[in-house]
Amino acid sequence: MNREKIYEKLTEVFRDVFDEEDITISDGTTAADIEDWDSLSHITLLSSVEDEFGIKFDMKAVQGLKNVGAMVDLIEASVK
Amino acid sequence: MSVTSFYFFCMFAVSLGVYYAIPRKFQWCALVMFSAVFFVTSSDWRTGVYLLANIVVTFVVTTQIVKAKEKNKEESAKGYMLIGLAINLSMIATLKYSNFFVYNWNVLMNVMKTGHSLTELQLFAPIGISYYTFISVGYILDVYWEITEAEKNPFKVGLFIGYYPQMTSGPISRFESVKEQLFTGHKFEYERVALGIQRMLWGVFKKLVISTRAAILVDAIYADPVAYTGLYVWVAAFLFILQLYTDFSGCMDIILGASECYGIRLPENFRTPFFSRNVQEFWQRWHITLGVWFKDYVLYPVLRTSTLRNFTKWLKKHVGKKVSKQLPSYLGMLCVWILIGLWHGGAWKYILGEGMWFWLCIVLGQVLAPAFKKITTVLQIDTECFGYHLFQSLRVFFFVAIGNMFFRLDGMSAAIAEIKSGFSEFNPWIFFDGSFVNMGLSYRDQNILVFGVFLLFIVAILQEKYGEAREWMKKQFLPFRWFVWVFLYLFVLINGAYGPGYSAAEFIYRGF
Repeated sequence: MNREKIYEKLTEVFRDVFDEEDITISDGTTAADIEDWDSLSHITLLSSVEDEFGIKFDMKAVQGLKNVGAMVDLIEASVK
Repeated sequence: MSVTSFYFFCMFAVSLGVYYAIPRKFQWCALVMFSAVFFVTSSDWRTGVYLLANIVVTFVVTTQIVKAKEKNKEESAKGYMLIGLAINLSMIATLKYSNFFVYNWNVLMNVMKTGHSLTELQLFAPIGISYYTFISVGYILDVYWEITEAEKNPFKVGLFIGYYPQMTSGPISRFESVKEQLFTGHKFEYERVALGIQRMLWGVFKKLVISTRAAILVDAIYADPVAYTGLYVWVAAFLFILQLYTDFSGCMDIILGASECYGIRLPENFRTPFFSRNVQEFWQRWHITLGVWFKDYVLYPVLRTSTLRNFTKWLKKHVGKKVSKQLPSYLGMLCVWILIGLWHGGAWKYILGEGMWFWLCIVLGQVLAPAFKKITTVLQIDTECFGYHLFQSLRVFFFVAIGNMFFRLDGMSAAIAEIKSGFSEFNPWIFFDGSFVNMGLSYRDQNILVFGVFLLFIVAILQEKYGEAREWMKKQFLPFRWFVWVFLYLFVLINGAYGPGYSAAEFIYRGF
């Protein structure tokens, strides 16, 4: 799956989790850019991403993801 | 040895001299030695066996976890991780919570009317056990999750777990963020040492000038709940928060300042908590490292258990999307808040007042947020204006005051009676008729307390604006800087509660 396709699916996940239809994401998007992205919704988001792409994040990724770009890197590496 | 005692400052000065006099590669060895001296002089040296056991267990299991992972034996690695957690947590459970178990067991036996009651045990938890246990548990999990590499030198593991500035009251640091600073030597830098000492002075000011004076009024009011009713109760509740904040954050200033002098920056535990707009934000600014620890090592693993994830999917299918997002999170948070309450002590008052009460405040805050948003929109209230922010901060202050009444008073029933008493009478004249002078705090001391709070407020504003008040201070011209520090030093010297014949109260959070 290429990066563009990942972003397409990931944007849908973000819109579903945060209940906002006009969310757009990029490599540099962080929790500070999305109002409801706190420590609780972070886990809901990661679980939804895991279900969508059929992957599993380890705890290092759960705690250490710095931005959406890092998340896409992990997805890209896992779904190859 | 309290960190405001004369002996502590003597030891600190000697340690600083030795630290910078020896070759840099041996500096961490000096810290090991002074940590051992601090432990032996701060508590019964025999309780050091628990700290040593903790260090040995942590070193052995982390080494074995790495070996097992190198051989791709994931199950063995998990086994070693669980053994490490079980041993370290069972030590704190036995030493701190045995009597809580005995109490609950006996209540249960009474209810069931059977005679199998247990006798309370006489066990003494060593100083700082709640902190070093959490530090070591976090380290074991970080090695298991491959967030950090395991340290191969047992003495370095020992220093990380038992580093003396953070031993008695935290902060709860993580290996990955402090290892370089702890083990790599530091060159003497005048500015860094000066900044560290300035921070220590500010901590001493908070503890000896503000906290000890607030404590006099709090103790007097709570000592006689029959005489002190109505607004006295709220004065005590608010002053107790002031006492607790200046005590704990003052202690942190001394600890972080001392550590900074060695060139080791420990994580911050406070970030102007009273500017918070809701209780959730308050806990992100108060005892930060404890909250982060529970988030990373309890909340996240709990929320990611297959049971909770399956429950979420079931809710989404049968109840609805909104509930499926909220309910599992609230259940995970409940586990965390019960444990935070229990961390404060083995008693129901802690579980209720420091745990479930704050969980309730946070959950209600989130559930009612849409309703509040609607109200402010209808009433056309600008939620960003100063007045509304002030209202929100005072609301947080009130909720925190209620929770801390359980923390301070003896037992749940005493706290509930005190809250009721707070609503029993309206007696505003106590602020004008000199009532507080009769409680052991003279007019002069009351003025010093008010001045101290004023300074605290100014510094809090600077911290909110610049991150650190010292950053602002660094930009000021030399005579002003010297005037402020000399004034603060003399003020503490003259008005601080210390010295022969006076025993400054122990730091409240030192007991954990």
